[in-house]
Amino acid sequence: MRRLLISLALLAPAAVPAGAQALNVSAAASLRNALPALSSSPTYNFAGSNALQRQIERGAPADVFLSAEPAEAQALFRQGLCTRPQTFATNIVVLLVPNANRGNVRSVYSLRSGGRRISIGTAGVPIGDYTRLLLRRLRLSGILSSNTVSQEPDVASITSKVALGSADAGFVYHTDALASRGRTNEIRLPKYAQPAVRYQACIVRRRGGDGRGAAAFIRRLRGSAGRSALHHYGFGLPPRA
Amino acid sequence: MLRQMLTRARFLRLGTTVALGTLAAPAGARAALPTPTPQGDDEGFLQFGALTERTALAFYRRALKTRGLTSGERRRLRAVAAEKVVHVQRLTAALGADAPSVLDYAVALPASAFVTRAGTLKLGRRLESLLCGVYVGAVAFTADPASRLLLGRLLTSDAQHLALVRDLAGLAPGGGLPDPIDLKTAGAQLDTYLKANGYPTL
Repeated sequence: MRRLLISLALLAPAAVPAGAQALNVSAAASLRNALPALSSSPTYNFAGSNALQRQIERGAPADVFLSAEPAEAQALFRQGLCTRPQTFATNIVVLLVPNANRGNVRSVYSLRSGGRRISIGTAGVPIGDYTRLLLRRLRLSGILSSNTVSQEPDVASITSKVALGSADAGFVYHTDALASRGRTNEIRLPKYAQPAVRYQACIVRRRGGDGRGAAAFIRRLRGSAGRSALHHYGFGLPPRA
Repeated sequence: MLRQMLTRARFLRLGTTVALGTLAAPAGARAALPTPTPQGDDEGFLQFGALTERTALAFYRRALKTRGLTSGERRRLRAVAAEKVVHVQRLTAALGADAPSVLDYAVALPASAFVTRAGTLKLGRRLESLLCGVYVGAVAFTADPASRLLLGRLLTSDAQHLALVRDLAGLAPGGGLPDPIDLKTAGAQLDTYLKANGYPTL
């Protein structure tokens, strides 16, 4: 009996079908807290959406792509590399300051006086593009030349810089501000200038990919369980399909 | 602060733009315009204009249901609403891909303002003053000439709308253009009338 069990245990990995391998989910860095709470079984790859787009274009083994702005997912769709993207969450851009607030930043307009250290996303990364659009709408693009600006590849790096006090302020999503609460404070930005932050999901088309598993994951993400997890982590939700 | 920043040269340029706008567009900015290509922060004035014009359009549509207006007054308000539609279209076209979508924002005007004729007209004056105040600053500080001309024409048209709501309220038309309002102040006022769709619940 014991010998039989050992034999079965040795054979088991070979008997597992390819589809049962962990699903690979490439997701925007701002989703790093919400997604594992929804499901811990996939293998997650969190990074800036544009970096993930490039990885998928070069053949990275992703099954699901979750982008923080429509541009990246739509670009992959146009190239035939993923299915038609669907919006599953929204967000807003806020100004994050460290608890100590040594830079004495009280509002985004405080940055007009210059001489502070600001952390923003690199151009091309969703948070970087949204920040630049928001500053143009506020007529505050000048703060990017009157302050010392560090440009980061994703929103997680901006949040870390501010939380550690390496920056006096940073532009991040509301959900990142929530995640770092206790070490940072969030300053709201004018509603009229907010860019429309839309997260989109699509199934990556590749040979050997787990299309069925990816479809199930996106269904769950857009269903009640997903909406509940996203809401819990501070995301806005689009109307139900 | 904005008033202090208006130098003599800028004031003359503002006067020229408004005068040209008045001559060229006597009936609500209908003539053909060069295509605006906003430069740098020009987008700030256009974005503010697009959302405030849309808010004003919602105001006029709602104001038409206010009691105590004569049929002649309703006709005039309806004509203004039609001009607001054109203003929104012009600004949306100027902003291109960055234009705010109707899906992004909902206008949330206070219901209490529409209970009486006086309350309705007061809200109308507030919105038109906001538009004119920002456009006065915009024609002085917009870098792209075509965007500046568009904003100048909108200023001309909205100054007429302001005069109309003042007239309906029995007030004097008011002398000249209103004082400029900076975007920080104006944006805070506009925000009270906007509800951003899909905002995270806080």
